[in-house]
Amino acid sequence: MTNKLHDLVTTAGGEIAGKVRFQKIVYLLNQLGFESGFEFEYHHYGPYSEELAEVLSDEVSMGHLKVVDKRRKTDGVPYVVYTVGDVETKQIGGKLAAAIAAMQAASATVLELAATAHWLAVYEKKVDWEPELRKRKGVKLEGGRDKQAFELLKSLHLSPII
Amino acid sequence: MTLTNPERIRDPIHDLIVFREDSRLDWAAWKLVNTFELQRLRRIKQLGVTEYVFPSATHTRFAHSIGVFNYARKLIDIIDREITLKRVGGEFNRPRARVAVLAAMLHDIGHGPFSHAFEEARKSIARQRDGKDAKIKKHEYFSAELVRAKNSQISEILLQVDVDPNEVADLIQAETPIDMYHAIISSSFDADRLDYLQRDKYMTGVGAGSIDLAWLLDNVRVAELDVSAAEDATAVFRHSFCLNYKARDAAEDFILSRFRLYSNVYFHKTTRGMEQLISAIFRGIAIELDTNGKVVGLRDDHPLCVFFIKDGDTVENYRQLDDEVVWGVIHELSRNGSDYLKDISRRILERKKPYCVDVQVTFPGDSERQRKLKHNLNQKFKDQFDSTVFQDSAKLSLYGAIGGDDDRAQKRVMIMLKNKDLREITDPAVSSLTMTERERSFDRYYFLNESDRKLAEDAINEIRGR
Repeated sequence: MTNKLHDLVTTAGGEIAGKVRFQKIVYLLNQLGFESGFEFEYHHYGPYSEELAEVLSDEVSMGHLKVVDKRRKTDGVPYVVYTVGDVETKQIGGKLAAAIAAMQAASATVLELAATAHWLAVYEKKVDWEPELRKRKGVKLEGGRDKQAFELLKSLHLSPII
Repeated sequence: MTLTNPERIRDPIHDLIVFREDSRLDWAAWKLVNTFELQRLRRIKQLGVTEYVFPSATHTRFAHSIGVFNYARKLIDIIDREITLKRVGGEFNRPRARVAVLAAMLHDIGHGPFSHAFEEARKSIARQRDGKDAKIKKHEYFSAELVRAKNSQISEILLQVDVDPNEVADLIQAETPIDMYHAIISSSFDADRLDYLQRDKYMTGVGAGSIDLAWLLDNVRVAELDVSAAEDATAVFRHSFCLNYKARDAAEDFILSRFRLYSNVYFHKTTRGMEQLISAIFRGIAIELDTNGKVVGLRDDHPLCVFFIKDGDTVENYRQLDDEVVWGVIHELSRNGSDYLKDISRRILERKKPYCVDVQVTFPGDSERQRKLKHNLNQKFKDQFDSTVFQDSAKLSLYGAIGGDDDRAQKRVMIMLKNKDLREITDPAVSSLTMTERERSFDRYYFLNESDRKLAEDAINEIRGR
């Protein structure tokens, strides 16, 4: 399970910026057969795995992953960037590699929207998932981010936009 | 629609809370106080079994909800002040303000008995029944559904003051900042937080930090905050609360006070251990229902049996539950329950707390040994988890429990500098806090049996090399 996380960071170009991004990438990859083994629940930023957060923290304390503390320039809000530590990794291949590249090209907010749309349709079984998404995520869908999220799901061949 | 006479409530945190006779809002609030849903909160303690450690912490969600109403009114006055002083644009929206205050007052009505233990047990039961992807409805859902319910006392009162129950419910459930009025329900200085921090501190008696509330409130400002993920290049702006730079020190004290409450009170190892026993009662009931269709020692139509039978988690069944219903069950099971539930119930009644192995206390600052111990105990006791051995993990940052409500973007404490720029409170540009700990982990294992505790101690000694 943990080796997969190291490989994921490597395949993602050597770093994953932010906890939200890490969580949503693993969630969406799971839908594509990544089989991380982590269970997800719905939280404020959409699907979230407490177990994944715990394992990431353990991996950092063991030195398998490293974190760099950063702050947003405009207002000093902190975030972390994960990189690979003292551990051997390999590139993930096939369709997962392409999916990882597509997700890394998207913003964390777009990933949050895509993961939430999928969650609403698949796990909450909401036929009217889109109004629900708009209600929950509000302003985050503005600026074309809704379309970007739907495009991302389409490119990943994931519900509800296949 | 106004009160004939003012109604007054004395409160240790607010002193005097007055429901004025010249206000439609106060009329609605007073009427809501006397609904079944708010009165039910009299029978739900704010901090569950925390009173097993802090005996005076018996305050209820009812008292808290009234306190939240009072703070919500004060925050509305602040928004009005900021608009009047033209520190924020637009006109004061009184109908929207009314929605926000009433939503604040009603935000907790969906809490179940022993909130944390109850939700944890329900998650575990759902996974047992329907596999690892099973999901439960959380208390925010129940709060919103109880507000939306047609022809209910609540919806009738709201409609009489021209408030749409759906708008109130939507505001309670909203997870992304909507407008400055939403900040009253969910922000760094929302009404809920202002009340619970002071009330929990006062009622537990812990001297954890000071809260200079009058100064903080006078320095609350409204600004456009970037609520996007910090690593995103594109900003997403919404109005919410921040603090004038003159309240920087008071803001630090405020969040440190919250941090201390989490580490000293909410995550106290004995409280969390007693919560495990309460959860075990709920799980035991569900298991007996699934296995035998009934629970030894309880009537089939007991509200807890009706709720925990498969697919019994309806809103109507949920609202029949409170702490007193559960205490009745614990007494009943201690006399007439099956062996397992009889044992757990007696332990609760006699405060026989489970043995605790605290991973971080056992190997302080040694993350490698902590990891080894967790791995060892997980392997050794995996077949006994949730039965005679309980595992509890939580993480705490300066902002509160990680993964919890305080993780939301709008909960960040932002300081407005003299030049109107905003800085997050832990940024060295404004902070005197030294963040030596990114996050603090709490990993505890609880054992019902002395023999299992000894096995755990053997594991500890083995890791110590003794």
